[in-house]
Formats: sequence, C-alpha cells, structure tokens
Amino acid sequence: MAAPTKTARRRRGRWALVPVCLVLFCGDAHSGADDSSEDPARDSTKEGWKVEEAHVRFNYYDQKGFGYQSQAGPGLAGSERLRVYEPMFYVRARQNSKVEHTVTVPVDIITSASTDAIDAMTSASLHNEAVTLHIDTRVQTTDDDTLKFAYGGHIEEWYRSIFGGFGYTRDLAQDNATFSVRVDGSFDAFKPYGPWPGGVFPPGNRRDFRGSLGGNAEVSQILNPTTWVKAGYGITWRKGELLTPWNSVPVLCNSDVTQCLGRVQEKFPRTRLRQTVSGLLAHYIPRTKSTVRVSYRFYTDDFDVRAHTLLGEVYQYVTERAYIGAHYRAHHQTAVNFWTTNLGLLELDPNRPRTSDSDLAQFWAHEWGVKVLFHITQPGRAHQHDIDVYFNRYTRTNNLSVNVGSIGYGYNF
Amino acid sequence: MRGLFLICAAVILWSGCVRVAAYERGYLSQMTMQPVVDPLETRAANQLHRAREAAVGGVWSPAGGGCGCTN
Repeated sequence: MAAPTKTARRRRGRWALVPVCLVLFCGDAHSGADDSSEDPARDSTKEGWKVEEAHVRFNYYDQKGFGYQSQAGPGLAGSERLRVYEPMFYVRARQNSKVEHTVTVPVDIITSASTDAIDAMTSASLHNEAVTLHIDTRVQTTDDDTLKFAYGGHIEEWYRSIFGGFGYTRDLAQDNATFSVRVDGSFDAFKPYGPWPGGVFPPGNRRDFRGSLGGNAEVSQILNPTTWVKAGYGITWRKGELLTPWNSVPVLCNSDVTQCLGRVQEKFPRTRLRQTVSGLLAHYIPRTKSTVRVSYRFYTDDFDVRAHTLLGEVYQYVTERAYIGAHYRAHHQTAVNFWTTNLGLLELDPNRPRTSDSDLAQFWAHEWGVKVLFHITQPGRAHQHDIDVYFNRYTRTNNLSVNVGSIGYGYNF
Repeated sequence: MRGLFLICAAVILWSGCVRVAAYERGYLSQMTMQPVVDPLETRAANQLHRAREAAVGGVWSPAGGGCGCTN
C-alpha cells in the first residue's frame, strides 16, 4: 500500500502502459482511416473500426482546507491539504455504421495531508493512485431507437469497484425530442483500515463491500432553431459499508471543540436512497455567436440532505477559431442528520451513525472558471485539432478551497 | 420538487407542437450547444464535486474516482 514499496512501483509501471496502449490503439485505427481515405468510393461502403475522436487532458488540483474528520492537524480540525495530478484519455471509435464505443481513462495520482495515524504504516490516505476504465457502447437499432451499454472498473490501492448499466433512447417527432431511460449498478470492495487489535490492518484478508442500483429517465426537446431543453429524474439506492475507513469523529470535547478526550471512527447507516431532479436549457445567439447554458439540480436523500445546484455557462466565439468560456456554479446543501463535531457520552453507542466529514456538512460552495479553446484547424473540416486551457476555483463556506488548472487537446479524425 | 415537475411537464407539452426541420438545426450542432461540450472536462468537474459534496448520485460511474470516498 505504501507509495515507496516495490508493489506500488510495479502498479505505477502497469498504469503507465495505459496511455501507451491507447496511443497504439489510436495510431493503428488512424492509419486504417488513412488507408480508406485513399479510395473514397470504397470508404463510403466500408464497415470497420475507425477512431473518430480522441482527447487527452491533464488536470492539476491544489486543495487547501480543514475538516474535523482529519487528524492531520494542527488543530482538531485537521488539514485537508491535497494535490492531485490527473492525466485523462478519451477515445470515440465507430465499429460500424450502427455501433459506436467511447473509452474514458482517468488516472489520479494523489498526495495529501495524513488524515490518520494509520499512515505511519500504510500511507492509505497519504498517497493514493487510482485508475478508472469507463466504456460506453451505443447501438443504433433503428433510425429512432438506440441502446446504450456502460461498463468498467476502478482500481485504487485499497479499493476496487466495477460498474455497468443499460439504457434505451427513443427519438421522437423527427428527432425534435428524445426520451431515454437507463438502469445501472456498481459494486465496491475495500480494505477496512482502522483501529483493529494488533494494528490497523483487519484480521485475515477481510474486505468490506457496498453496492448500488440506479435508474434515470430523461427527456430533451428542441424549442426552436437556437434553443433546446432537457429534464431528468434519477434515483440511486446504496447498500453496504458506506463509511470512509480513516475518517474520525472527535469525542467528549469542550464547548468550543478545542480539546477532546479522543476520536472514534465514523459510522454510517447501511443503506442510502438518493433522488435528483435536474433541468438544462441551452441557447445560441447567432448575432453575437454566443452560447448560454443554464442548469439546475435538486437533490434529496434519506440522510436528510437537501441540495440545490445552479450552473450558468457562457461561451463566446471571439474569432472563427477561438472561443472563451466562463461559468459560475452555486451549490447549497444541508448536513446529514448524524453530522457532529463533538460526540457526547450518551452518543457513544457503537451502532449509532456519526460523522464529522466536512463534505457532508451544511455549506455553500461557489465555483467559477474561465476557459480558452483554439481550433488549430478550421472548424468543420476533417482532421480537426483543438487545444484548450482552463482554470477553475472552487470554494466552500466551511473552510475548503480548490484551484484547478487544466490543459487539453482534442483531435477529430 | 412538485413545482419543478410541473414546469418540466408544461415545457414538454408546450414544445410538443414545435417542429424544427433538420436543415434548421445548424446552430444546434455547434460544439458549445452539445449536451456535453467536452467529455473530459465534464468528467473532471463531476469528480471534483462528487468527492467534496454530499449531493451526488444518478450517474453511472463508480463511487470512487480518486479517493473512494463517496458514501
């Protein structure tokens, strides 16, 4: 588990192969596309694999803040300092005229403040490396019907997850509207680090598990030649061990929570039911070549969290080959009903839910960002190159901030 | 939530009469008018929020995404 171990170095080596494999895959498919382009007559009827779009992106996250779940000090609200280096890869490939696949691979390399003394032995919350493979497959069964499949997995040093889903989309009214439904599920397994007898490792090769089932329904509608809207409903049911193993809760503190007798591990109910309703409106203004997008999302769950999220985006073309984008996002949530920073004597029942995780507290979050994208080649032509950079700033009213820098490159074959 | 549902239903019913022909959809095909403008940027934003807010769910993706910390 520790970053300096041989095992961790071997894992890094394996993950380094992911982009290499993608490049080989893209390169091979691209060369195939070039071959077919030599014979336009044959190209129009040929059925075969072809990469149509590829993106690479590198993100850097710099997080500062404090939360009572962290033991990283200096006070009872420990540091949540975090840096993430995140290369991401995306490929969209067409298998034939009816089947299309997209592959997304984000890799996270995380260094963080030590949120728990267990890091002296495991580094589980100090260094973390993760990779996700997400594949979406679309099968167009008729002119109006599309089946969608999603599947993949996620690997972290202490954590494994697999997921899959199935969806159906129906185009209505000559593609002026669409209706789609989908169901999906995931299954997670992880090592329950904590204060076990004799150390922080659980006895034997014990793993904890959790799973989820979800359903979504969505409708979209073109309102006029410059405007479309979308609305959706989603429900997710989770069951299993929902806690984060190294999160802790201060116990028996004084009134201003500056001194406490100790800490205990957080505890969660075994199930959680979440529901969301969301809507999006996108409008293009031809005279100024601007796009305005506004979306809203309402969230509720049986932990008594209620959240409202509003996002506004503006894209403005400044030349034919460049646009500037800006966004603002406001999010408000209430705390889970078992959130506390000071667990009292009567609340020390081992089966009673408790958490002091700052992510589950009541807060406002504000985010703004700017983005610049350049079309290196003329938009609309074959073999189009795009490059972009953006900066986002995310702040919360409960003492957390994140700066995000990103550079991306896209290629349409 | 009920009000939002009624608004959505009204928009859908009202817009059912609208027919925009395929040749009139040039503006709708702009890159910035797509449902997802940039797939990797959207994924990164979702991951940022998923790991730091309680109000996640409703998307088919693993609970983790860098820290395995989404309950």
